Amino acid sequence: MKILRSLVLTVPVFFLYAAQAQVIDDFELENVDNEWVSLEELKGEQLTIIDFWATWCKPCTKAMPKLNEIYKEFKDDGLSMIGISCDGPRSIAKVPAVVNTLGIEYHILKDIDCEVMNTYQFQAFPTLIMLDSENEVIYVHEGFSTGDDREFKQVIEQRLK
Amino acid sequence: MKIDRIILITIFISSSAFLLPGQVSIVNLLETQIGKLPNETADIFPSFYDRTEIDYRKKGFSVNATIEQYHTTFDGRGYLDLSQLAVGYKKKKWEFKLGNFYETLGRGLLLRSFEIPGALLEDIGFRSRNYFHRDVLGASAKYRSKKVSVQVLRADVLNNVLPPTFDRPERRTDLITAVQAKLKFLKSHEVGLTFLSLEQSGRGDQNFVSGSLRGSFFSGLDYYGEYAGNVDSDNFAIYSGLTGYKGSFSFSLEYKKYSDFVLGAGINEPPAGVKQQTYRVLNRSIHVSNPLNEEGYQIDLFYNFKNGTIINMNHSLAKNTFGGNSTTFRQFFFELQSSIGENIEYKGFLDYSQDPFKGESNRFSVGLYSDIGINENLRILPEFEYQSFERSQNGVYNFNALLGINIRSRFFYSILGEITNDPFIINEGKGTRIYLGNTVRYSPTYRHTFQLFFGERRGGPQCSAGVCYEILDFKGFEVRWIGKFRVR
Repeated sequence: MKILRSLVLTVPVFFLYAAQAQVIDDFELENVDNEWVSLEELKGEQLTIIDFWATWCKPCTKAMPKLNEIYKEFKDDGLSMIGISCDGPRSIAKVPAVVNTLGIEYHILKDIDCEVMNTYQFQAFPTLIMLDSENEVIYVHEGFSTGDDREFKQVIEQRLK
Repeated sequence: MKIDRIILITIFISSSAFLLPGQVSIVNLLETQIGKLPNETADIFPSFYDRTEIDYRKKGFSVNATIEQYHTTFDGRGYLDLSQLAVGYKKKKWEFKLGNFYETLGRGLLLRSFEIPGALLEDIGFRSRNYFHRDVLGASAKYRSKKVSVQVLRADVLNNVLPPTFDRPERRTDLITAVQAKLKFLKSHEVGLTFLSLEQSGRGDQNFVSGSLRGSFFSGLDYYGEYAGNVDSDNFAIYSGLTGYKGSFSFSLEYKKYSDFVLGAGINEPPAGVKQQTYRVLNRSIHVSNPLNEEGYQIDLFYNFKNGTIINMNHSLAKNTFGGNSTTFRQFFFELQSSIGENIEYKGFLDYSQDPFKGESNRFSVGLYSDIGINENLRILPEFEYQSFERSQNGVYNFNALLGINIRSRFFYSILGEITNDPFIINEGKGTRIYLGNTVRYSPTYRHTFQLFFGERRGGPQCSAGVCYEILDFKGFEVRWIGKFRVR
């Protein structure tokens, strides 16, 4: 009976809700030069990609060179890209080294408490989200496997038409 | 009463979406196991865990609640708990938090809280499952401009080893009051000062201070240094690091010295100074830093070749001294990742370690992972790892092989086989032990992920997001669903 009552709680009002888009509020984080910058300062005119990653996450570092290629291809078309490192105290020191090793040209921010990712309840590394000009989340992708970058490009091309 | 309160809060936050202009996000993690766990007499042990996180936000204002529940057929292990409730407000340079939240002071020398997404903790002593996180419960006010930041914090820190079957006063015995100030100067340098007072139930107050300095000597060379100490004793912690790059070469150097610096029930976590490994055999063997007494360093080197090949070399050393006896952990790690043509990617590693703290000498590990594209949608992922070491004059080995199939990141299947002759693991009278586990994961959309595990999974130490914990062996079926819902 107790389990049944708990199960009823597990399936609360939220199942009635229609799934809709989410908006990311402006936030400020430090970049690799230890300067505070905001989403509003870095966002693209049409599209902004945010990639949540960590130095110890192998799929993350596998995705980043592919994302960098995408950034270079579309940055002049209104696309901005931000990588938010969720490295904690143990590995945050490695962020600049890994970014340089991978040849990343897009913006890299550091979030030692992973506050932005937790605030919006993203649960996997890496998680890539795309925002429109109103900061509304229009695309979310968790994990990375080679070939996923083709899907990213298709979505970007559709949005930047 | 407790259930009624939870229902009320759930309905209040959920219905806010309709009553107030804002957005509600809900994430639900459900996991059920039917199988066999260590030290359980029952062959079939059913359990049910669920965590619902509800978040309401409108511009700078937010309300967040987390409900956790766990049930088994055994009395005393299950619970239904409102494990987190928080209100936050953020406007321009000000930020206020009330309730449950996460906070790290400096590099974790004085306070480190965390949440490991998707990880469940089950302690073999308490036999209850709960989400793996360490939050604080209290209030925080922060002011931050481009040059200055000041934060005041007063909160109880969670002892996450104790599951929610324990009452709040038992799980939160450490009350902290902290003030932290940071000032930027000369464009790229910052000095920080933190004061922390710790009140422990029945153990009086202790006061700590820390000072930090960080910045860039020039573009491509960053430094960090922090000293923390107990005001009333000689206990201290020092952590420093230097990170830089030039062309295709990058490096990171770290030094640590910790002397009797475990705060309260373990609310702090100074950087380990040892590489966090994701390879299975290395992750399981990772050296867990001991802030009671440890000194050491880590050198991490990276080189990126023009064809995209990356090599990483890492060396770390950690010396522990207890009662006049010293043990020194040493690790030498080499990793290469590259590709053959457009469809084959691979990475391999070699590792040699001496780990007297665990009684393991000449620990040699090797592994090869590949990712083979069959066509645009299908990829095959074979992985092999082998490890050997000596313990008490016995030769021990661990071998594992995984074959994975990935279809467009929507569907994933893997079969993982592990074999070991480790006397700590194998059943009495047997020479080896074999684990065979299957994982099927399906994500029809980003909003829903279903995962099924069946077979046998090896437990042991596991490190994720810089935090190490123990997972238990498991044999049986495990089903997990993560669902995400949004309303605006």
